[in-house]
Amino acid sequence: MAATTGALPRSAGSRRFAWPTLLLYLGLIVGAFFMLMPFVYMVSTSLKPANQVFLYPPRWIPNPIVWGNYPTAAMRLTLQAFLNSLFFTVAVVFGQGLVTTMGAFAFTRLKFPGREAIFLSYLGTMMVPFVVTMIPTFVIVARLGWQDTFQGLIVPILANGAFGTFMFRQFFMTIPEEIGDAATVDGANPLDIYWRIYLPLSKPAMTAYGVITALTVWNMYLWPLIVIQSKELRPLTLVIAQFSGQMNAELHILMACVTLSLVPIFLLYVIGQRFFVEGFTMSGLKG
Amino acid sequence: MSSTFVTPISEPARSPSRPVATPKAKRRFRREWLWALFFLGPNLLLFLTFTFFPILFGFGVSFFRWTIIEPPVFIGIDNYQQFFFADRLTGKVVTNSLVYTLSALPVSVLLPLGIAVMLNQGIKGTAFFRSIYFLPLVTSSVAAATIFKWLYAKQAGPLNQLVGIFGVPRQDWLFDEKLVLPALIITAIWHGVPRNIIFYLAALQSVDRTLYEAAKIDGANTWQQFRYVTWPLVTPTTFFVLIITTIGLLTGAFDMISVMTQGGPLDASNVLVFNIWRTAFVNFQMGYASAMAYILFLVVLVFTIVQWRLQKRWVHY
Repeated sequence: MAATTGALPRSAGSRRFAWPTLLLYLGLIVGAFFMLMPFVYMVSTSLKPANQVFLYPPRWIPNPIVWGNYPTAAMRLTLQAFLNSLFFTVAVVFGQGLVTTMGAFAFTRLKFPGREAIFLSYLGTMMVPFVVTMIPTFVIVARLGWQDTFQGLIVPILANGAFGTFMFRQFFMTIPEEIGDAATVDGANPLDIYWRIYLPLSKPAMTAYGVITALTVWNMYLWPLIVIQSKELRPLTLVIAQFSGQMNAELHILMACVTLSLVPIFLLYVIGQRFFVEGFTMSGLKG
Repeated sequence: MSSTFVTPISEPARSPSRPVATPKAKRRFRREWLWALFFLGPNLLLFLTFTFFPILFGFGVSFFRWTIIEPPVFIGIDNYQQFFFADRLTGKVVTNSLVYTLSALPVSVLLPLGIAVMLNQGIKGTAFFRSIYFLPLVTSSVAAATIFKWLYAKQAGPLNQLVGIFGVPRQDWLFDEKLVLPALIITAIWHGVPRNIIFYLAALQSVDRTLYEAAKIDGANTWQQFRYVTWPLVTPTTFFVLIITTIGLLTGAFDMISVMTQGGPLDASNVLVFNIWRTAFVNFQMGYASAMAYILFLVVLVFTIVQWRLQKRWVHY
């Protein structure tokens, strides 16, 4: 029993009926109902035949269950949209991971002129919301001729690493410098120390940061909306948003599309719930 | 973790320029600045090009009339004057932003605390409930908005079924000027609750259990234990959650509005972020949109400073 607030009477010894526990369950179930309801509606609608979608009152259990909506939805979404989202996500996770840890290593371990001033300017920009930088960043991307390209989509997001740099710097500072010094005696250069000592020691922090970055990028909408026009380059969020405005007559297919779009990230969540929680706890400032 | 994420910036971390504590001077690398360039170079280049420069550039653009197609024309503070004195939308958009933020805020901050306390009692099935409560967290705002759009539908929407139980006639939630903001607020709360639960759970798990034992010996009941033990200990987290939730609500409503209402009906759900996007990328008034973005940034700063000032009254460190 990990009863940390200890607010409940221990019912083991007493014969009294555990009302507080019952109320607790009731509260949790009511909450869970509201949290789950949208998903239940989504899945239920995605399995309905076309003529039952707009029945009132809504029929929650489809009869018959139409699995065929899913192949139709998959054809509409296209594999390309999944691959675009995947590529966007993987590129940013690994790119940002490399850039932020390398930068953090420089801030922690290396001496160079202006180090503190540069670091302070990183901190100073963390408060600025994306809406402020969105317009000029778009102008820069357009000037580079990167509009409607993957590099235009990805590279500016790599630069969102000020927070990551800060976070990894805090983490690297907990690694005793003596470890690196000892390696230097043995002839190691900074790259060895970064790659063989600092990165392996920060695996938990990197995993947590990576998972949160993956989630953020996979779900990103506003930036792709600004940069991407071509159908072939659209990530899932753009496709879903577009369908959301068009498929009013085919709600069952739309909901099957939404369900399919959630499958990859839900799977990741089921496998690594712990890392999501750690990542959010760690990266509180990111919101 | 719980104590470090509250104010990471002011954490008394080792300063970079701190004199080295070891008696021997730290072993230096040859040509260290070249190594620094190698490690920090890519990071710094990206930072300067896509973060630092845009912040200055955007501020500059806010003093120009610029439609992208034609060259920019310097117009001084006209964009700001237009926002405050000429634009008929300003009043509505600012009011919407404030109503949206201030209505969603209390529930978004306090409801997760209640849920976190319930999830922290160690009863059976906690892991199961936690998984359910965290689900909206991994759901994209676009997917969430698409689902909610249909939950609110007039003809066959489940929400009308729910309120129908209480005898309320069917409403057209997203097409009613009075109901559209509440509908968006509910969606934002649903989507934002899990992240805040995580912050509170981290804080609750670090609370020393013996404090509750002591409180019980002194005869404190469940409510008193919460009020006098739990609450004071989580106020730093509550403060942190309050700040980031305010910023999130002020700057983050775009996805939802874009999918669900496009700011309608009659701009009843048009908020600052959405209006900035529309001004810049639909009407191509880059200068005016930049000015509005800076005004929004100022609003965010004011909210943060006010909350920072008020924290002395209720936050226990």
